[in-house]
Amino acid sequence: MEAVIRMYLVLLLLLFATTVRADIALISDSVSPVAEKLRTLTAASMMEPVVLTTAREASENPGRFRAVVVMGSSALKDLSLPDSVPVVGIFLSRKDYLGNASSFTTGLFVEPPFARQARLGRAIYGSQSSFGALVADDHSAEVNGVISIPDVSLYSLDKYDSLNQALIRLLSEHQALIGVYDPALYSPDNIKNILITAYRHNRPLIGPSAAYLRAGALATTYSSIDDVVKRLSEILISGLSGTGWPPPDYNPYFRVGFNEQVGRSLNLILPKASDVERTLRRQEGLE
Amino acid sequence: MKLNRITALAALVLMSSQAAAFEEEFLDVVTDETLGGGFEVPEVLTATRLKQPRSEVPGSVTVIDAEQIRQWGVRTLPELMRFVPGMFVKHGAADAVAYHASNPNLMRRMQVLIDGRSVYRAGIASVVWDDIPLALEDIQRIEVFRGPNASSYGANAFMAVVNIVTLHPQDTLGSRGYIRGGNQATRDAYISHSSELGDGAIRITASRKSDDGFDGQYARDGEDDYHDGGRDQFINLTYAERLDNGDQLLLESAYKWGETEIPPGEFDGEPPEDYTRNGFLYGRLTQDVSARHSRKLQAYWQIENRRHPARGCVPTVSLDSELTSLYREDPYWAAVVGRLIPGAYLNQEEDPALYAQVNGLVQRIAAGELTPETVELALETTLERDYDISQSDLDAAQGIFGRAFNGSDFEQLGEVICGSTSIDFEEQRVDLEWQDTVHWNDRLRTVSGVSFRRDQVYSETYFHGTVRNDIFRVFGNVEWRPFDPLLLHVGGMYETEDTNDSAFSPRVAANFMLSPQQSIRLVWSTAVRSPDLLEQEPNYYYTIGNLDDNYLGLTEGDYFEQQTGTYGQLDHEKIQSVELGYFLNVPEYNFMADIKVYRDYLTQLISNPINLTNPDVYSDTEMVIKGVDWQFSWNPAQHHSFWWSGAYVNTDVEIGEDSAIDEETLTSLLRVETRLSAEYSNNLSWAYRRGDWGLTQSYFWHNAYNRENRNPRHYRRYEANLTKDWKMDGYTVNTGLFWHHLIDDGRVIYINEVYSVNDLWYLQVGLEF
Repeated sequence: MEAVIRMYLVLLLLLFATTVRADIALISDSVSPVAEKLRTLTAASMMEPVVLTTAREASENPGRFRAVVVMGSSALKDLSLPDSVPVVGIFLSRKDYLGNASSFTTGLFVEPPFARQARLGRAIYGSQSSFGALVADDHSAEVNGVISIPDVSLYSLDKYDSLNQALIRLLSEHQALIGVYDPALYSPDNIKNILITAYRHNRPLIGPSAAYLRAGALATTYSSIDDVVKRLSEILISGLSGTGWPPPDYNPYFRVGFNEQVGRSLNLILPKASDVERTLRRQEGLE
Repeated sequence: MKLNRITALAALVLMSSQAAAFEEEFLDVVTDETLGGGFEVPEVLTATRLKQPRSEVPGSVTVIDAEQIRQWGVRTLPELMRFVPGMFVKHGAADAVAYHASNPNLMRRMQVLIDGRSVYRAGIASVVWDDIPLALEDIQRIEVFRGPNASSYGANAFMAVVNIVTLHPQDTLGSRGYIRGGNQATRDAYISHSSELGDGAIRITASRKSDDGFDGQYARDGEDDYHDGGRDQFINLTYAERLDNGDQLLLESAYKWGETEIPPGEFDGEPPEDYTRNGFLYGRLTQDVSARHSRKLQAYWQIENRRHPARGCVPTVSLDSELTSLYREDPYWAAVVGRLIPGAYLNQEEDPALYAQVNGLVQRIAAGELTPETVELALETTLERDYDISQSDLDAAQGIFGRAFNGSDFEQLGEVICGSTSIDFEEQRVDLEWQDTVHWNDRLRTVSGVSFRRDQVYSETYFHGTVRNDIFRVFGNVEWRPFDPLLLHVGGMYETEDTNDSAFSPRVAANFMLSPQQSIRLVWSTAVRSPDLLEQEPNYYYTIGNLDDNYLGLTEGDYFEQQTGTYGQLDHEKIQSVELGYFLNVPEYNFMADIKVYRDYLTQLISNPINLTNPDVYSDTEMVIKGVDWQFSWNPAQHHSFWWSGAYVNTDVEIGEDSAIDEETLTSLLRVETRLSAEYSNNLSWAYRRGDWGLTQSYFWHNAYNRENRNPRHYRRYEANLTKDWKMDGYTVNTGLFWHHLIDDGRVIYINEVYSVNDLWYLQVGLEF
């Protein structure tokens, strides 16, 4: 299957390289349906051709592109462009963006903002609720965009003997755990432990991203590919039209996902996702 | 053009369906791979790991969690049970807990499990709460299933099941300890340490509890005249690990030893004590075969050794071997010869008239002057009950009295000799269970399994040797959602065992889901209680050794009243229960309500006490219990929580075979089944916690215990638990003051089970780090 897709991609690249003068390049370091889908949708949204290419290809013909969109920080490898070509990073975390900030003109963070996740928790548990979040240390909290929020206590692992000690303390003091987008902390090994321990305490995990919903997180906000395309288009239009490149930020377009089975098992009544989405948007001044 | 539109429409449809599929894919692909995490997030809380929502449970359940245990501040498991609707507690030397109604002497109609291990004793069916090596501080939650649940737990899950789940060692990492002291000689201590060990976590706990129990009816102002105190201590060890392949392993073990003061009985020359030692080894392996299929294997071995040495004193005549033979022929006449007549000689100064009457009777029987009819008439006139005495009965009595004749009179019938007795009891259980859970799809789930259990009891007193019982069980439960508002549960357990008939206990339930957190349930369930080994295979008598000098010239003798299998094959006690319940959960207000209306029909009940003075035991009592249980919990604000539980219980008891029972005994039997039951009961609790301070106040109002009596008894209690924590630099010092005020200070069940003060209190100081 991968070979077929690879061939398809190569054909596509050849086609566009020979027949169309591309304006926007989409760079991905791997061949994936996501990349192709993103290209199609972005092209439709921008109403101009978008080329799916590799970092090396783009670096060899930098003058062909008005803008380059990089999918993930790993796609930066082998990318060498003159400063005149704006680079927009997408599908990369805030931490990854900050770590490679000089390579980008702007960026769209993949994870939902921490404050939005906390507001989602409040939408489920009510305004009287309190939450806790695990962070590796202060620096990690800072780069992962964990900000100080009333009624959300931070449990920094470097202040405890183990992740479990911090987790148990958090679970005994708060109604839910807000997941911080930190793949090292929420690794496959840790997530098993975190979810099983939290569930044993009748406490849910909210976040850190949509991938954790199937694992057993109760809820999360996330941006679908449509949401990414929508925001990316806005960024590109703004930047290419001369209005200016917006600063790197979280995606203002998002949805709410629930794991209904987990909610039922915790004896919770989950609100309607669309209602929560509206509430959160209103709270963020987006409606 | 038209074609283009169709193509565009088809493309749109295709795109939207692709988009939907893609959406799902996106969630995984993007987050797992594109972002550099480079991993796939595993499915952790699979369908088999998720607990059933409360609204879908096929029965009434009360859950008490660790936080509530801490808030209420009580010391023992039975005290916690008071918060459960319809639960009644008899404190004292042998704490008994009954759901709705039961015999207060032994707690034998309720199953109690600790992490799946049954602590229900098989030898003499009962649960001895003090013998459970478990600290309340190590409990995660207690699930009380109110109603028969034999289809899941087997025989003896008769009227209710108390399922105690202990804290995972990972949840108690660090060290904790406290000391506690108060009036009634309350002296407790607890120390526990948990740490991570390899890929798992381990906890070791040691605990000691002691108090002097009730004070007795004649004690005043803090005196204690009643011998019912207890001192118990234990060490337990728990290890839990998630293995590399995802299996979960739980290992537990404990050793417990203690002494319980026993109120003196008729044989006891001095107040005796029970010395108990028990321990267990337990292992459980849970395996997730897939996200929808899990299986569990558990095995345990437990042993209990109970020793009750005593110096006993009895009339010499009661050790006469001919009296023992007579007892087997005619226990009622033997009781007259061995108990009543010596009693009259012993108490001749207090009751000279009775002595004169009895002495005359003895002289004439010894002389062979009386016929059976004359003796029957004399006894019936005096004792107001029927006797059926044969000539051989009289001949035996003549021989017995003859040996007591000292050449001039029969005064030796009043001779009392002392010697030593010992009630030794060693009970062992091996249990192996395999359980399989499959979520076939979102609408069908099955739980099935098999188990084997061997109970073995050695006791010279009760069995004069070793008896054992093997039980095999097969069980299955199906949960099926045929269409959305309806959830059906069908289950049953089939059991076959050595000492009782095979039994099948089915249950059918329907939960009609008004909303995900609101349901109406209709449950029909059945259960049996297997007669215990003592009820089925008794060989129960006392041997008294090291005897003082006596007219029979004995150094060792067997007391004449003996239970040697004369009960015959008793049937299972049976219950059929129908309940209509309503459950509501409003999470945004933290409000939960559960109301149950029920009718329990109990048959083949064994009401007669199993003791030496009771020769007839039948399984033929019937009882109908009807009523309502209610339970509400509410956290109206962040720092406040309320609890209100209660019950209305209406009982109707009917004794079966009563021809050999006198009026007084009949009344007593009618009463015994409902003695531990109040007609109305309410338990209210309000907990307030802010910062490091906590105050919980509880009020118990139980109306009309023993309501058949002319003066029904009331149980009104007020309790307060004040706590304060100090946190500093990783250490937490916690303190607490618990106060229990007896508004009604009279007895609830037995006359001596009262305090000489109206206030019980204790202070607690602990450290956590």
